[in-house]
Amino acid sequence: MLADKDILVLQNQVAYFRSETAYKQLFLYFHPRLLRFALGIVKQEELAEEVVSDVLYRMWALEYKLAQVHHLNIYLFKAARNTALNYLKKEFSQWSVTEDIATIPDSTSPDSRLESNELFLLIERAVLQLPQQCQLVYRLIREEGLSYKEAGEVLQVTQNTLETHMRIALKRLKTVLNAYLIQQ
Amino acid sequence: MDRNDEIRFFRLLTLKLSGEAVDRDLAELEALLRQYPECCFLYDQVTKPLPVDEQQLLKAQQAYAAHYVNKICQQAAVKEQMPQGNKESRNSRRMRYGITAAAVLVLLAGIGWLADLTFTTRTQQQKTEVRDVVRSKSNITLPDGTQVILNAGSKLTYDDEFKGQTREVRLTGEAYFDVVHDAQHPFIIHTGTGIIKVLGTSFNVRDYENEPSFETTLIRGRVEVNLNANNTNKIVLKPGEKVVVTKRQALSRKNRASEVTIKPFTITEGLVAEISWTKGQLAFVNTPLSDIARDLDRQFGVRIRFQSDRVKEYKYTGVFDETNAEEILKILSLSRKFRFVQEKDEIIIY
Repeated sequence: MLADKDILVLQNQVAYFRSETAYKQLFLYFHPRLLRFALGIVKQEELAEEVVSDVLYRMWALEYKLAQVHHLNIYLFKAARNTALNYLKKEFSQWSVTEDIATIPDSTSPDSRLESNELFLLIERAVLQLPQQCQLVYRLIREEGLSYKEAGEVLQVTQNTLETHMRIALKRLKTVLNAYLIQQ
Repeated sequence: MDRNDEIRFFRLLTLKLSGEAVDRDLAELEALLRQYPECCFLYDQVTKPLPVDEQQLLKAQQAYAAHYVNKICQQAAVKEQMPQGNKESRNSRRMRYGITAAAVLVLLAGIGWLADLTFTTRTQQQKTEVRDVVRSKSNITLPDGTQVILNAGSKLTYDDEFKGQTREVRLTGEAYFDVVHDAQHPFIIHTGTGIIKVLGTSFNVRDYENEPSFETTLIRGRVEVNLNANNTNKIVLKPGEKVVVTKRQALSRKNRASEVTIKPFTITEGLVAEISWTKGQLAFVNTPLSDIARDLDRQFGVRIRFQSDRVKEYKYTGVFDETNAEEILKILSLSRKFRFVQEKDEIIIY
C-alpha cells in the first residue's frame, strides 16, 4: 500500500524528471485498483482495460502539470469514472455485442478475482449482486480504503448517500454471511 | 438486533473502513460487537485485509508492457526520417495520446527477399503495397488508424480503405502492430504460414520465410492463430504464452498438436528481445550465431558465410544498438571467441 507521501514523490519524479521507473511504480500500483473500479462500471473486462490504459496514459501525458494534481488517488479514480461513463455511452450507441467478447472470460465471475477462499468468493458474489452504485461505494470504501470525502468526490455524491449505500451493502453481506454460518 | 443499533453499527463500521473512525467511534463499535456477537463474523470479514490478487498484478504488468512498447512506437514515429526520393512513403509521425489499442502485434511472416527497393503504385484491385527498404524500418498508418512499424525486408499489403466486415492485411517479414480496437470489424493478418485473428490487445508474431519456425508471442489480450494447413486446429493464446511451429510440419497435412509447442515466456525478458528491433536495436536471447548472422544480414545487408559448423552453434544473449555488423561481431567474439574477416562484400566467420 503506497502512502500518500510516497505517491507524491513518485508523482513529482514523473512530472519533472519524466522518470520511467516512477511511472512504472505508479502504473503497477493504480492499475489493479482502477481496473476493479472501472469493471464495476462498464462490466466488460476489455473495455475496463481500455479505460484504465487511457487514464494512466493521460497521467503520463500531463507532463509537468501532473505535479499540480493534489490528490492523485482521487484524480485517477475520478478520471476513471468519467472515462468509463464516456466509453459506456459510446458502446451503447454502437450496439456492439460480438462473439469475440464472448470468448473473453466473464469479468463478473468471481473466479477471476481470487482462487480458493470460499468466503471471499461468497462475499464477492454477494457484492456483485448489489445495485450498481452500492457496489461502487462498497468497493471504494472497503477495498480501496477511500475516505467518505474522497469517495464522495469520485462519485459526486454526499456523505449521507454514501452512508446509505454502505448500510445496504453491509446489511446484505451480514445476511449472506449468517446464512453461510448456519449451513456449517 | 435492535434496528437503531444496527444502523449505528453499520455507520461505525463504515467509518472504520473509510479510516475516519475516532477513538470514541471505535470504542462504541467494540461495545456493540460485545453486545451482539452475531455481528462479529461480518466485522471480521470486511475489516480483514484483502489478499493480493496475483492475477491482477500480472495483468497490470502486461498492461504496462504494452504501454511501454507503445511509447517506444511513438518515439520511433517521431525519429523516423523519410527515405530519399520516396514519395509514396507512408511513414507516420502522428503522436497518439490516449491509446485505445486493441492489439499490439509484432509480426514476422515469410519474407520474399527482394533486392528491388521501389514502391509499387496502386494495382487494379485497389491494393496498396508498402515494401520496406532493406536496411531500415518504416512507419505506416492503416486506414483505420492502426499503426504499423515494418522491420527491414518486410512487406505489408492492404487495401486503401477497410471495407466490409473485416480489416485484412497480408504480411511477410516482421512488423509491429498497434491495432485500433473495433470489435465489429475483426483485424486479420495473413502470413505465409498462418492467419492471425486479433481478439485482444498485444502480441508478437515471427514468421520469416527463411527461418525454420513460425512464432507467435502474446503480450496482452487474446489471439487466435490458424495454421494454413490445418483449419480445424485453432490455437488461442493467453498472455505470456508463445506458440512455436516448425514450418515443414505446419505445411504438411498431418499437423498434430505435438508439433506445435506452447511455451511461456516472461514479459520483461521476452519483450525486450521481441521488440527491441523497433528501437533500432538487435537483441538476442540465447540465440545461435547462425541466426544472429541472418539478422545481421537482414539489418545491415551484409552477407555472412560460415566456414565452421561448430561456430554456427555458439549461443549469445545481448542487446545491441544499431551500428554495423562488424562491431557487433567483434563484441560477440569477446564473449565467446570466433574469428571473422571481411572480404569484399561479405564476412567470413571461421
